[in-house]
Amino acid sequence: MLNPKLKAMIRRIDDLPTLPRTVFRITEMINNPRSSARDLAQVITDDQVLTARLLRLVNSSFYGFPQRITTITRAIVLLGFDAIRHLLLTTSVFDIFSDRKSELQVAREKLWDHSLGCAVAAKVIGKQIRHDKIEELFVCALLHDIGKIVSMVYAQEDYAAVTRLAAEKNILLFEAEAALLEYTHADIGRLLAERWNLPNMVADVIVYHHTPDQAGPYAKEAAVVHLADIFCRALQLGSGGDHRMPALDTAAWDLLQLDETDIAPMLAEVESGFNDISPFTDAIVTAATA
Amino acid sequence: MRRILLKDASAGMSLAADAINAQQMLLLKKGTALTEKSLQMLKSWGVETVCIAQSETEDIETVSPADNSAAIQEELLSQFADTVENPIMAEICRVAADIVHERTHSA
Repeated sequence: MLNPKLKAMIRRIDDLPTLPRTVFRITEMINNPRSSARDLAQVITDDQVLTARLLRLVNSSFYGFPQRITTITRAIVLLGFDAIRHLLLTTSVFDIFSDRKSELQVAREKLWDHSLGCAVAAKVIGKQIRHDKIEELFVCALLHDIGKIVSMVYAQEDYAAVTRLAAEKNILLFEAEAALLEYTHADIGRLLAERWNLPNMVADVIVYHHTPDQAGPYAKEAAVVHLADIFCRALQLGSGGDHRMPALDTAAWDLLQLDETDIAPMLAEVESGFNDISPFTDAIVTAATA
Repeated sequence: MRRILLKDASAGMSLAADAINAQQMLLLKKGTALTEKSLQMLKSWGVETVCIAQSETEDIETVSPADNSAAIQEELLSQFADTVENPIMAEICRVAADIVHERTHSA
């Protein structure tokens, strides 16, 4: 379903930042129970930029370690594998959001907040349903609107027309895109996911976060991100460029087997979780720009 | 400084405050001089009002900005629109409104 306009846009995004190879190597390594902290440190220190940034982050006030951490091995031992991977992924995704070319800085910051809020919410929902891959859910949610960044930066006129239509008719950006452009941010997300060789689960959640019933084997994960998106919009954490609430997909809700009484404690946890992660984001900004 | 309707603004006036649209996107910074092109751009981004220095707008009608906490509640309701017919969405809307209310009041 590649229409020519979408293809042309994809050709222009050669200079879009990519997720560094190192991030994928690290993901594979962490999934291997036989990897040691030293193996992991070896891979990270091969990438000088990542090494410098990681050390700046672990020495930031967010972690507040009493002594200065000077080696990656020490950072891994102190923080653990999962936290390190999480950190690397979040900083890498942040790079994509902080491309300084576009003047729409505020819109991008709001989209980053929306993405981060969804990521926090996906974790909260994942915990509630006892999902076995909570960190993956975080990543899926963090990237679910990545297609919007591309439109914002590389198809500014289209994006302006779409946000205007969404505001005028009080409809979702997703619906406005379908009406005006013959492609949506989910389609762009699919192409990016292929280009970046993202795991199938992440790719499918990006594509189906508005239509979780079509997500096939990853229907549950798509349902988590669909609900996380609704939570985030309800709590007004950031903005995805539109103001309309997506209708709850009842099949998705049923699939999660949640109870109505779970909503209040989950929303409260999303609110506090988002506040907790804000200093972390500030630390990322400092580490990325210092 | 006065807030005026975008259609009353003209090229040559300078912005006395950042120009943002309903999605809070920063479009033009305070101090920017408006041009025909930037007026067109603001219009296409859905901007309805801009702030202009007092002296430049003596004969133009002033309008008041729409915000504050009652507006937030209303906003939340319009955002949920017909989705609240679903009892789960109604519950999400109710709880979220409380949390957002508390956040804006403790800030």
